[in-house]
Amino acid sequence: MGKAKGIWRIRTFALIATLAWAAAAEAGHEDAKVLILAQPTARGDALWMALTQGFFKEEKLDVTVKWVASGKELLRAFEDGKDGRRGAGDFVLVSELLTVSFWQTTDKAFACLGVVGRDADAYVAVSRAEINTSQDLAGKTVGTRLGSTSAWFLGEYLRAHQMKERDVRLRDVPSDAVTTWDLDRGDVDVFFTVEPYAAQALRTHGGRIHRLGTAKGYMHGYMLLGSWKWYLRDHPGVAERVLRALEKGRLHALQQKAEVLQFARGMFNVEDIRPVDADYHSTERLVGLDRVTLDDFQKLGRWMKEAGLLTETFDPKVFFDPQPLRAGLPDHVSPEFK
Amino acid sequence: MRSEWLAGASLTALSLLGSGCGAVILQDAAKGGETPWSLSEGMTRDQVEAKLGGPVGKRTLPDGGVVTVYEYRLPDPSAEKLAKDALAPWFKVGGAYGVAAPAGIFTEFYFFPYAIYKAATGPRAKVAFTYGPDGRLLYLRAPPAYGAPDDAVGMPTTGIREDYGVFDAVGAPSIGVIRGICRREDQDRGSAGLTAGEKHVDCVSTGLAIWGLE
Repeated sequence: MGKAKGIWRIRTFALIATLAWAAAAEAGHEDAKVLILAQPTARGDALWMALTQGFFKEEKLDVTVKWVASGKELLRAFEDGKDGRRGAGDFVLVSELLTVSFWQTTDKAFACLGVVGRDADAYVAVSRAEINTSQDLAGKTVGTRLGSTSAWFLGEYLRAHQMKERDVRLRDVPSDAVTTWDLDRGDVDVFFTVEPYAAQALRTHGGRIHRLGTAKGYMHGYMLLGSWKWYLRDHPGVAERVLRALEKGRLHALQQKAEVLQFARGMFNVEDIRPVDADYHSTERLVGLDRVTLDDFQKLGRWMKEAGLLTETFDPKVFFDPQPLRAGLPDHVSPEFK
Repeated sequence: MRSEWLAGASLTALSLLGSGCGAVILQDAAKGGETPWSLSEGMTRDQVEAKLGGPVGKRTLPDGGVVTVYEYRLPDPSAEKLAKDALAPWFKVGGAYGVAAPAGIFTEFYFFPYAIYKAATGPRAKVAFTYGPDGRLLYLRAPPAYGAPDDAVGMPTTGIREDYGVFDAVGAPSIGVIRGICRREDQDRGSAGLTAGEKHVDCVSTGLAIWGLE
């Protein structure tokens, strides 16, 4: 009798162990499948190289990337997963202004995990040749895409030179308006815009215009990795593995420019490689959180607040969740975030 | 024996030709093929190809995905008119399908080969779909071109709600909205620095200027 009971116990334990193992295996399988929504720019070339070099596979991740050019469109698709629905994307790689706005709009259910790349030289002030200093801007007409990263650059540029937006006349124009600049009409004196449009305009207009400056020293445009807080909670360890794969991708991209350009050619049907080449050189690759990030996001928060784009005071230390970076790449989080 | 077989075959051919097949083929050509837009993301390659048929082109992407090109038949309005013409004799003689009315047979002799020709050469279009590395439909187009636009965030154009979302809003704010934000700003700032009136004026003028409003 006692022996029979013992056998039943062993069988029951074996059954429970099998079921638990199957459940864990299923959960692990689900964790391994990751969908990333990303903008197709070389600022995120760490992701490109992580895909082609098998760095995600090394981390036991089965990653699919859906490329979406417009950050707004990308985040609208991602928002479908706010309440825990899979399939709308597990991670996003998107620019800073939209990310902060999205974070606010989604009641902070979204977590920003770190910087993948940033760029200051891609944001350019192009002026008529006779405008040579920041002080020459007073009273002039400035064309920019209002509410964009270029407009934030203008704000930082003016503040750094003890001016404000009210010291110039602002015109809302598309980012590429500089390429069709009618210099004889005289309706715009300076454009604050983004590459590749500034370079195209400089080639077209020759000596009549020049590069007044770039965003270097004022701010950076960012490419950030983010996810839902529910996803991070329900899939522990996945963000760390994604970050580690991106770090390997970053190092590879840094050394293998030809492979990065080749990826752009094959993936996005690029014929004119110059914009990709320029982005490759001006991108600062990071996969981390550092002091510069903190400074930039404090500036961004202030500007967005002034513009009425933030409803409350913005604290970058609340916006960023450094926990996955601390766990996966502890050296990549500066003390300010600890 | 041979003549009996030939007679049987001829009768079968006549009844087939007289059965309105040409009209049916033309009606099908008029409707067009399976619309690619009825497909949805996440479908497997097999599910897509069951509807659209095999691909006419393929390109493997560096991320492991595949751009696959399919051809599909567009609706052909001219085939619809021809189908009506092909069916007209049957209705005129009041016959049913399978009844070898002389007019119908004559029409079918003309229309049947033409219907096949029309269906084979009707208007067609190509569509490119992108599959992910897992073989599932990732999106109903090729990957986007290189580059990300300098996206702008907008502001609500009417009123201020505590929970307003700026993400989906577009355009510059109204003066009333900016004033409302600055009233709240005044409360946030307390009494430090400038007088309340000066702070309010500064806040409103800065907010208006950022949005190019004078």
